[in-house]
Amino acid sequence: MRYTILLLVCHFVSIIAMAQSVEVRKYYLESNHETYKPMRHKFYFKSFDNKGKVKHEKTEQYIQEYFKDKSICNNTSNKNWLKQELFCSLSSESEADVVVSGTYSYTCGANVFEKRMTEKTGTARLPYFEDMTKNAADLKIILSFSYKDGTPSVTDTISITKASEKKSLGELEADIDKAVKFKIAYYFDATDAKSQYINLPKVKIKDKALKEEFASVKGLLKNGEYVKAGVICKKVNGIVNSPASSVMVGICYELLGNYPKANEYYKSVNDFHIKSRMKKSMKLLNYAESIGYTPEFVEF
Amino acid sequence: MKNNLLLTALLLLVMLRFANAQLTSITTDKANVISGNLKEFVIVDKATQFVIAKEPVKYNATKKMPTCYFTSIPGTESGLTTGSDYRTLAINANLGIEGEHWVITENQDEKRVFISRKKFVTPKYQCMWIPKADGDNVVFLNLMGATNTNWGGYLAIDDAGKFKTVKSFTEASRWKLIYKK
Repeated sequence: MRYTILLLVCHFVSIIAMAQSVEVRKYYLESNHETYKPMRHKFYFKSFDNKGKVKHEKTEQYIQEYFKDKSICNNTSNKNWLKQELFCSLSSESEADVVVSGTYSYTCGANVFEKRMTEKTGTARLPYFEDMTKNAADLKIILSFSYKDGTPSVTDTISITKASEKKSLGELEADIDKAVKFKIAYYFDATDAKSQYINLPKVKIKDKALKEEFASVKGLLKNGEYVKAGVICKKVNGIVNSPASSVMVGICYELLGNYPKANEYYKSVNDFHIKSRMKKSMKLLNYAESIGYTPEFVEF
Repeated sequence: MKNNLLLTALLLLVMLRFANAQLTSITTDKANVISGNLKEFVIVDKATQFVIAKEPVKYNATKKMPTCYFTSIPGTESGLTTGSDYRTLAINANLGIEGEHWVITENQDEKRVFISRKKFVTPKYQCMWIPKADGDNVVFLNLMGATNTNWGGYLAIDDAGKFKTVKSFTEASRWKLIYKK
């Protein structure tokens, strides 16, 4: 009874944040399922050319990073399916479902234009013109996706324009650099990926050393080190064996996307928030499985 | 009290820093004329694209163009009884000669419009112009023309780059004032 009251009073993972995160993931899976039927996830990145006069280092860097280096398909079982890219790149074209190629063009410079003004004072204020300088930077990336199964190819355009009378060209270029990273990464990040502040249940631990070890869990969760946190929580749960400690293990599994396992550890409590959240998460998991995406669950 | 003064001073500094660059008036006051801190304008005729200068040239945005500056002339200096009824100014060609002011004058005796030394212009109303806004442009009416149907007219320029005045507002040149900081 005491524990039930305690758990009802305490919040676990922020419902809103997790719900949002779940909805973003579901939307991503849905939109990709609609675009690519059936779901294809192995691609081969063929080429990427600069069609403009100016080289844009960051674009080339992020294309290399996201489309080539980071997204390599591998078969490790210990991968959080929520963080796993839904697309991964191969080194050979023959095995790929999708062949990707792209081009970009980048321009930046100052444009001088005339701005109409009027005198500030007087009854019949006279109009005049003043030369103004507007700095502008423009980046256009075109990605082409062609499908091995004969589905018509599609192109996607990433267009970023920054212009300002006050900001310098350097500042606008920095704005473009930031924006282009987000736009390219968007192809691979299925979630909003921001770690949310987690209110954890209070677990009563008598042993001082174990208590200290457990105190590090909050920081580990905030840093996204769910496996490390899970190992500690499992150890604590093995000793303390309380509903609160069981919930802690459940939280770690939940954050890793291992919903079936999380549910096992949540059985010890009858919490509305957990039940509601897990219902949505299981729905997401069932949906992913129904469209042919079989996630690999992380264990600790 | 001290904090309030400091905050007010900071606020004023911020306001000044980001203050609108809009001119209070297109005219350069006497003190700034003497110090050479002129508000210079390239004055372009909309129809012919001639720029007001001692020798008018065609406007070219990529090149350095001749400039003018405006100065206020009090209506009392005109010698006309209705002189002070209007905002009047002189259109000074910026020839870069210190102490010398050259103004567009509608010369009654010679019956022509040209740029001449201000100190030799008599009566003064010959170089006094009433500015009127017309959309994005300005029309200049000689002060004499405001009160006399026979003499004085709107400043205009023909296709050969010669200044003249016209009686009809419709025929007047529409001048675009381009401020050069």
